[in-house]
Amino acid sequence: MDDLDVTLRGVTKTFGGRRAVDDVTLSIRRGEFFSLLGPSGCGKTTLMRMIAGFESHDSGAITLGGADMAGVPPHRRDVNMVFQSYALFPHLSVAENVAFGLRIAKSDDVDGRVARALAKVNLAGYEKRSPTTLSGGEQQRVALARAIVTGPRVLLLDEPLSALDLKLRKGLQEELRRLQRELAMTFVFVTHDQEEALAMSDRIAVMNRGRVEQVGSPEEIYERPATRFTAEFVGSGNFFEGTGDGRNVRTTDGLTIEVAASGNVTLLVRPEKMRLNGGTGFPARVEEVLYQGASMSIILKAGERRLLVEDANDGALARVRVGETTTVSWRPEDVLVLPR
Amino acid sequence: MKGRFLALLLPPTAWLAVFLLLPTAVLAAAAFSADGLQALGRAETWLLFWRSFWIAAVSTAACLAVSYPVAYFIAGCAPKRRNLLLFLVVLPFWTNLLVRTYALKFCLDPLGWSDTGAVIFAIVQNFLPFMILPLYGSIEKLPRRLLEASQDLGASPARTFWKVTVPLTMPGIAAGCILVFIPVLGIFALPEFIHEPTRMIGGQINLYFMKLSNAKAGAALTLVLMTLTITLTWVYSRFKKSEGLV
Repeated sequence: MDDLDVTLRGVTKTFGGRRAVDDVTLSIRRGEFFSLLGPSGCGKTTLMRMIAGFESHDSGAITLGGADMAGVPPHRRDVNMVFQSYALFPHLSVAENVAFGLRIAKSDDVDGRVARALAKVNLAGYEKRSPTTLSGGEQQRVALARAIVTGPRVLLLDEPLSALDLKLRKGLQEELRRLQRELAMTFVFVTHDQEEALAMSDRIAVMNRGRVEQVGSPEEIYERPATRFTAEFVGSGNFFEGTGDGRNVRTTDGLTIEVAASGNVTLLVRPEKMRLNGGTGFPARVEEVLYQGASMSIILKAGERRLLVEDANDGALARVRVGETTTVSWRPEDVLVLPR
Repeated sequence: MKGRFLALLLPPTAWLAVFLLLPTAVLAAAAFSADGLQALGRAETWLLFWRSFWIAAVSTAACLAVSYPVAYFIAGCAPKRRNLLLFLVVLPFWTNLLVRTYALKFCLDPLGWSDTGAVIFAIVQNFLPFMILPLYGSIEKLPRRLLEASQDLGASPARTFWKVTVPLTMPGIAAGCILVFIPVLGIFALPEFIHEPTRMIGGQINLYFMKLSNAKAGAALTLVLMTLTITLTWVYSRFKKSEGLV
């Protein structure tokens, strides 16, 4: 158990009668990049604020490094947070912002540690600047340097990239990941961006309405979603509801799909697993072709059903025309079975 | 075009000339006279200036100490409650200063409290709103997340207050102090009314003009007081400029 940095057991938080966090149990390992992923209002930010100590939990227990955190105020918790809006002190220079925690802790070699932290986030030479004169990306780096310089046990990141534009975001994703590896620090990353979570995390907890739907590696979350919510929130998919007899599933709209499932189930086929004009398959009509640069999305209509097919833009789909009839197929092993 | 511009400039210029420059010139002329200079040469005058200065300083400090928690509390309330409390803060202004002071005296007299302390108490009581309102204005604008960031980095609530809250609400603190200090420096009637011997410089000026018929001495004292307050306001405006972005 001593390789666990953060544990939550049956943690519940109610705001005005609404359960913002509902019986959450999680273990976050030392040195892990752990993401809390979910739509806005799913409780992920509240959960993070409870770990930081800004919110108390109504029931359950939170431990940090094995110590129970009940009643421990934020300033006595060995976690630092990178706020969504950065929360840099406008009355202090960049260097003084980074030095803030060190001065409180009365550390020695403050200047040297500040300089090294700023170098780590590629902001060497920014010491004397005022944070108000920096761009969003630069402010983000200062916030990061300020949070890591004291070497906390856990770094909490509250949607730190959501205010930045796409290009900057991609760059900072890589940088965050590199930083986390170099520091070997536990990162708890809150995001609503599934792509971001998949790209960066060691493990992801998918949250929905205050509850944890599933915890797993990015591959597990995407390839083997445990619930329909996870499957829908992470990536897109084609869902079929039906009843299985052990070898085939008969869908509610009359299709027969080959898959080993029995009882009432929901089947999922990811758009990129679907093939067009594969010979045998379901007949469908092309409704829409969406060109996306690196990939293409094709929306099909099979009876009353809409199907989404995605493929790399490698020329194979270039000849698909709106209105034409085609067939759509997939390999049996690409059909995922979810409880219904 | 230019002519019209100048024409627009004329009324305010005339206003300033007639109602500010001219009276100041008359005042200065009166001050630099034998009687005026003699008044400035008296030790008692400077004693009064000194007393006014320290009473104003102590009153301002007391106002600040009382107002900060009040303003902080109001800023933390729900908007509806906030408006009610702010209304209560300015409510005393609906009553004339004289009436308020009389009322206070009726309260102080039975206690037998009539000394310099009582004067300061009365001043603080009168000037609280001037301190609370600017303080509230800047505390209310203080982003909560900055306080959270400070605590997250290990600062206790007390250290957060001194290292984040106070520096970031400095504009309100400075504005409140200037709004209390300058009027208190020149205050008259109220000190003598609460405690006759605690006369301040404003009371002395009043005395010269109204009782002693020595307008020239009064003018000299007024000129010094004006110079003092203008200097203070100037220092404040410099300070405000250097403050920059908050």
